Amino acid sequence: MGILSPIVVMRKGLHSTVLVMMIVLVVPVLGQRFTISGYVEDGSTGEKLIAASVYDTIGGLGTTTNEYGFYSLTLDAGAVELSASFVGYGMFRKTLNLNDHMRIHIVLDPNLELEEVTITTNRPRDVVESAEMSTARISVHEIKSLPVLLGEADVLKTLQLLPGVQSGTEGTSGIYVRGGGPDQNLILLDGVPVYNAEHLFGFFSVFNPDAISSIKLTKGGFPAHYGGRLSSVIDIRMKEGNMKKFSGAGSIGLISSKLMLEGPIVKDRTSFIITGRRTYIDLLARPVIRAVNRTTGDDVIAGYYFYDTNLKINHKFSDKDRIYLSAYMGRDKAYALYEEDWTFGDSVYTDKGEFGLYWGNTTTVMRWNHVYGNKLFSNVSAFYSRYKFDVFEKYSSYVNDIKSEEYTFDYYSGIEDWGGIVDFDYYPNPNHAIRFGGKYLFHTFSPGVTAFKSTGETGSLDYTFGNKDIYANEFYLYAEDNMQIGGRIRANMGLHYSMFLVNGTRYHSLQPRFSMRFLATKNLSFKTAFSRMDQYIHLLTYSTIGLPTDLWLPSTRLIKPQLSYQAAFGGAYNFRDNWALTLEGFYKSMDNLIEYKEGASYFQVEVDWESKVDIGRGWAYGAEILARKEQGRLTGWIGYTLSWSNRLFEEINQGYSFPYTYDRRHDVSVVMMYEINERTHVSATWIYGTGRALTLGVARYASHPYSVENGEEDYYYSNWDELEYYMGKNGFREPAYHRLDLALNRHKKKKWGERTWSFGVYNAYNHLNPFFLYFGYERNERVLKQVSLFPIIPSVSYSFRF
Amino acid sequence: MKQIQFITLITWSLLIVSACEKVIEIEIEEVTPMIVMNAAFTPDSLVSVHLSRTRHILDDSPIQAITIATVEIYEGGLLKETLSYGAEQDYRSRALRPSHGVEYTVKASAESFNDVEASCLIPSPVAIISVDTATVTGDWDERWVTFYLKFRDDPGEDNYYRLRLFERSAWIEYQLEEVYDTLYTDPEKDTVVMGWTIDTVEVRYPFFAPYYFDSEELIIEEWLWDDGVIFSDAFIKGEEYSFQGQMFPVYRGQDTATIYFHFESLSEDYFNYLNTKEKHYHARDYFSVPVTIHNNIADGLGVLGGYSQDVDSILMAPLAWDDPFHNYED
Repeated sequence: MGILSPIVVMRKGLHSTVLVMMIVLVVPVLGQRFTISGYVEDGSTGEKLIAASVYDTIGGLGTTTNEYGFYSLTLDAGAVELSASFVGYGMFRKTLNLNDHMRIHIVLDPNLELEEVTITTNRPRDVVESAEMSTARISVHEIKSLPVLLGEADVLKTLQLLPGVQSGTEGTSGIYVRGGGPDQNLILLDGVPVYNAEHLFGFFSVFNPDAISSIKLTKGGFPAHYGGRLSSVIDIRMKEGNMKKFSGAGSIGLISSKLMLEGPIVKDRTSFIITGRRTYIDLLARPVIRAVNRTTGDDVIAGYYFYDTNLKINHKFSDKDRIYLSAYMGRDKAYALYEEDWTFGDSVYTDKGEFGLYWGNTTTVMRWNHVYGNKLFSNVSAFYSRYKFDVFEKYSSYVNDIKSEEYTFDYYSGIEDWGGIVDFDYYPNPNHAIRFGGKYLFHTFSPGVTAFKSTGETGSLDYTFGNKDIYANEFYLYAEDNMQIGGRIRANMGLHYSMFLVNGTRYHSLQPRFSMRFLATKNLSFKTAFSRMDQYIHLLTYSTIGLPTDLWLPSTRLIKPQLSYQAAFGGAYNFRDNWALTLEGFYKSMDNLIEYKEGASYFQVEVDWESKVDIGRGWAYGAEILARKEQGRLTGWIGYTLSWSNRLFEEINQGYSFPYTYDRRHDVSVVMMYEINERTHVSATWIYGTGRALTLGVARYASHPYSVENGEEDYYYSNWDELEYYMGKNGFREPAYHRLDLALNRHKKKKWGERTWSFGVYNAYNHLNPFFLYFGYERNERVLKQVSLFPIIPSVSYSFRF
Repeated sequence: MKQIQFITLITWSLLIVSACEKVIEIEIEEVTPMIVMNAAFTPDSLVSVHLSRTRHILDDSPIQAITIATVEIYEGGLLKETLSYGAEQDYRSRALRPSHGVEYTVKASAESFNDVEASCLIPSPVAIISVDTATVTGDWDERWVTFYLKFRDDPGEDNYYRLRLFERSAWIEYQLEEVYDTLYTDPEKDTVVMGWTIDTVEVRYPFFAPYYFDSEELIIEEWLWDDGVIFSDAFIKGEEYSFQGQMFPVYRGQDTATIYFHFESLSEDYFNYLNTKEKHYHARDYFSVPVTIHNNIADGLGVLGGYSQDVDSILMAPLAWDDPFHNYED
């Protein structure tokens, strides 16, 4: 509204009053605008589609759906050809005469998913036209198609294949983005932070692909609605549940099995989805352990398992109101059980015990979506998230089967959040998509508590000691506008203001966010982005290994919040219709990083954590290339990253800068998926990465003072006279990491649905990659040895859906 | 069901094959060998410098001293002397005892190595104002000696200290000595018998050795292996400070001991070297962060440090044979 008609003819002799009247009357008619709004959803399940494109092909104006599948497009009155598209779905087209506000729910047909010839989506063009940069979306289809360790499809390991994202030690799902640390990634499951996203000491992530609808990674150019971490946001959205019919899927793999069920509770109004996954290494191993015990005389059973479950219920009150309740719970447990009996006199004595470690996350969120009119969409959420680990021991003794003594010991730590989110999406016209809102979190940090309870003949004990819980309040407000400026420029500008209150200390920051695209031609755009990010929590972790016992800690008076500035420049180019090529350069500075001081020990429990760390800064820079093809029989991508990541701490490396442990000069990933026919799909990934930087002695030399040989009797020589020379901290490089994985999926339609046999080979050419290095001896000679965990490992799994 | 059995079978086959770690040997590139120069100058001793060479990290042979090298010492920028290699297995001055407050530079060159160079300034000694002791009784009625070493920190400069205790005493051993000396008469048998008597002989074994002590002083930066403690004046700048520690009693079977308190002012380089060297030793496990050792030798490795010291002493009598401390120790 309010835009002048392009044609205003002035005639000599007309009275000015008449002219004004003409303008008043004519302009509203010629400039009349109406809004089309609604949801875009999957035709077979009713699942909302995130980031689907909605366009008026006549006027050339368009938008994309938000995280809840909602869109709003305000257009001039008149003829409109509304089209909508999403990767893997047939295109929606509808011609209409727009003369009023309209609500159109767009249903896309997924049945054409494999018939690539008939699909024409504009996804590669989205990459060129979007103002976003340094972002990537991964589909669940891609995650399930790629070859993986032991056949376990894994969200985070798929993200590791993107440029700018690096893995940690061999086989783990740790994420290191653009030179940042593992704590600098905000992992959101339906908008709720997940603090430890790893199962089995990091070899698998906690996200079950069957429960997931979309994954978006942002590693730079952060929009203002994200905050709280420096390096990346991994926004994972769970499926909503099939609104149309009851269905399910499941699989039986080498180490775990999983099942997903979904369906309508009330058709087209209420749906549910529930998933479960459990490993069974412990169950399979138990008979073997018992057999070994019989030969050794021991009676100890050790085991390990993890399980996770997702639940979501989605209810549609009306076109304007929906609520969602989603929950996740996962648990890992490594344990040992023992039992011993003996007889003394007439009595039989029995000792039973268990010790081990468990850890896990629980998240819950209740969400309400409401549409105000045609242009304003709101999301209000209340959530809970908890991560906890517990090192435990239980012991009980019996005399003639009567309990005589019992004690339990627990050492636990964790973080718990309660919070609320309010987001508004406002679409005043196609040139602006405004988003504003806020988030509040109440954190409870438990940095290590020991609890001991005992009952027995001599009395009872029950005491708890250790660090007190730390309570902190964190909130932020934000506003951003995704705007079209003229025909070539699209920009996202925003501000993010955050505050953190802990133990009487207050931190706050105003963080500008900006990204912009310049459309040079239809297929070529240039982009730039700048953002400041603040992070109020720290993860105290030993840098070479990630353990569930790593501690989440708040900023304190001494340990200030981490902050980063990141600038990125780049371009996007479409070629051969369905290839998208992106090239980006970035520079990121990071302040108030923490790192263990030299000499600090992970097991040095008597020293408080603030004394063990040094505060410093870091910087990372590099270039990333991604060539990606998402349609056709052959899909996949080739990614390459050239980067540097350095750190500078006053008390580490004598105050000189040093490479970050995961400074990786070259990182290559080649991901290919090929559809031989409708039934047979093959895929391959090959990755290469410069070896990890670590501190390792390269020479030996005499210390001062050192003992010298003064004749036979006084001869004294020991290792204490020897020093190791490091070429600076992290001055040594492990051998390069590279690996080829292959997979073959055989699908077959059945009366009840479809089954798939998946065969895979992990590390196909059996390259022994480093897990860690140590000095040892072979044939009486000192050697440096490399421990490798995973040689060539074939896998097979069976999955089904109905 | 057939499928589950099939997968279970394959699972076991694979886990058995792959669950073990694979250890392979990898090579480390040779670092160009360097001269290692180690020296700590003090006004109380003749200047001496030890030279050795670095070896590859996998070279397990003993430390290799460099015996043929040219080692020159400069005092205030002027060549003072060329040191010679001697029986003590180091390069030693014939007469030069360094002074505090003067800068010394050592240059060393040897065939096949890059020349190395380092400088040091010996700090002024800080006087011990007093050493006092008090006896305390522990939970087991054992006797401990608490000492208080008082000094005044110089407020005008950053100071680095090392405190070492030494003991001069002697172990006393009573040996049995057989003495063939008598012929005596057995009155009952009326015979003459050759006999012997036993004498006890006191044998003393003098020694001078580091003396172990304990302390809960928060200013301590590091305990040195067998060599006292180091600390800086970061928290006591310009103060008169009384350093408190606990001494173990002198054992039975020992002579009265003289306990020497060596209170040393260290050059900053020497302090940093000792500090990082100690931490380096303790961080040689997989769960500790490795420590890089401070180095002030240009184009080489090692340390050229300087220190001056003030020494005080006390006498400490050995414990009585029935002192309860022995119960504690035993």
